[in-house]
Amino acid sequence: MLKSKIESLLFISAKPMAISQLSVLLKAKKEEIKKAGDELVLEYKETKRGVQIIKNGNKFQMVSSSENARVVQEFIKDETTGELSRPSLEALTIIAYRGPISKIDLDRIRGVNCALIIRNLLLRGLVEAKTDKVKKEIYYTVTFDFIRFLGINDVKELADYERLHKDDTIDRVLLDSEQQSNKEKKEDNKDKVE
Amino acid sequence: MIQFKLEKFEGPLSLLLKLIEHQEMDITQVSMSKVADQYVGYIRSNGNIDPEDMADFLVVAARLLLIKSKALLPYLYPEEEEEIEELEQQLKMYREFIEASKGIQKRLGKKIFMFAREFNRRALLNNVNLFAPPKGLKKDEVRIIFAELLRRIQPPEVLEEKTIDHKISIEEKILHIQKMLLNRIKTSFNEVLRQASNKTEVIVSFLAMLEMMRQQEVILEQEEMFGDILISKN
Repeated sequence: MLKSKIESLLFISAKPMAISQLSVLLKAKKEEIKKAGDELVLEYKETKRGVQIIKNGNKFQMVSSSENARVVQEFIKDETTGELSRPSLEALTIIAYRGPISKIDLDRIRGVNCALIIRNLLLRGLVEAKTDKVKKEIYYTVTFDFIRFLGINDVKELADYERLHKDDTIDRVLLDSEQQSNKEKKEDNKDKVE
Repeated sequence: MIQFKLEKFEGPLSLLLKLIEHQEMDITQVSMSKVADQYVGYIRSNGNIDPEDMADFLVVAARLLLIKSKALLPYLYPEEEEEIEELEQQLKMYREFIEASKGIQKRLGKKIFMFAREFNRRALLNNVNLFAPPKGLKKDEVRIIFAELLRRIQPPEVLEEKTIDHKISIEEKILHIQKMLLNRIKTSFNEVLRQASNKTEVIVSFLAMLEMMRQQEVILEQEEMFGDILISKN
């Protein structure tokens, strides 16, 4: 069964596995992998397992549950504080809700150039960059590490995610016409980014 | 003048929002035009704005002044309506994310982290190669082999056990006491008994001590009945 195979691979790989990678290994369509993977995430979550599966974009990873953070921290003697400066936290929040997001859009929301903050977040492994070859632009998303620190299975679980992810008033005003014409192209790009 | 200190990398929207919230007002064109002067005053007087970010602060300042002048002379700028609304929208959206960031900060503060393991291919393969059963091995065969093994293994005969007390002679005990007195002038009977493992040895130790006294090798002293007996070299 596809789901159980994905489960085994996630267990043994320990690190995040991409849908595309799983699809090659299991000789199954990406949509099937995505569906089975999403179901796994949900099953683990609903049965409150000590192990959870988290999802970030098109990758899955198996991790210990956030409920047992204390005892795991004690065992591995983890002393990460999870402290961030306010500007970093701001940028990270926007990237979490809006990712994948380009630097221009991030700058626009914060009203200031975020180059140094992005570099700082990249160095700390909280954010990762992906280059969209077609648009020739870099898009930023939060990393699995950041999701692990939040103790959630997916950024989509963040409060108000749907609304803040979509609420794009400014972009809509500015890009309305452009978006219309690029809509089909965009769909293509999405696949290529994966 | 309100005193604020902007953190490094905090932007113009952060400043504007702080000024408006300090007035306990909502984000409207009215409130923005009200704080326009404070905003300009802040960036004029404050040195901790990074010169590289100054342009971004000035863009917002220009918009604020536009809003303010429009509030004073509404008939003058009909075509800039859109630009003004844009700043309002932008600030509202920014505030939404500030609110969201508080939620994220709270979560991070709880330290309910999830942990992943390390992938170690070599360690995995080492474990796998340790034992390789022959191909085509069936469950039943394993069961038969195991039963056969069990049959062959006879439990070893249990021999009767008896413990033999360690016998110790008076001579040995004398030697022991002599050794104890080799480095010191005095010892005591209790000291000698510290090594005694059974009643017999206690009795033998006592006899040895008496024998040594008889041979005038040692002098015994006991201060009171049942008290410790001091043994010293003669």
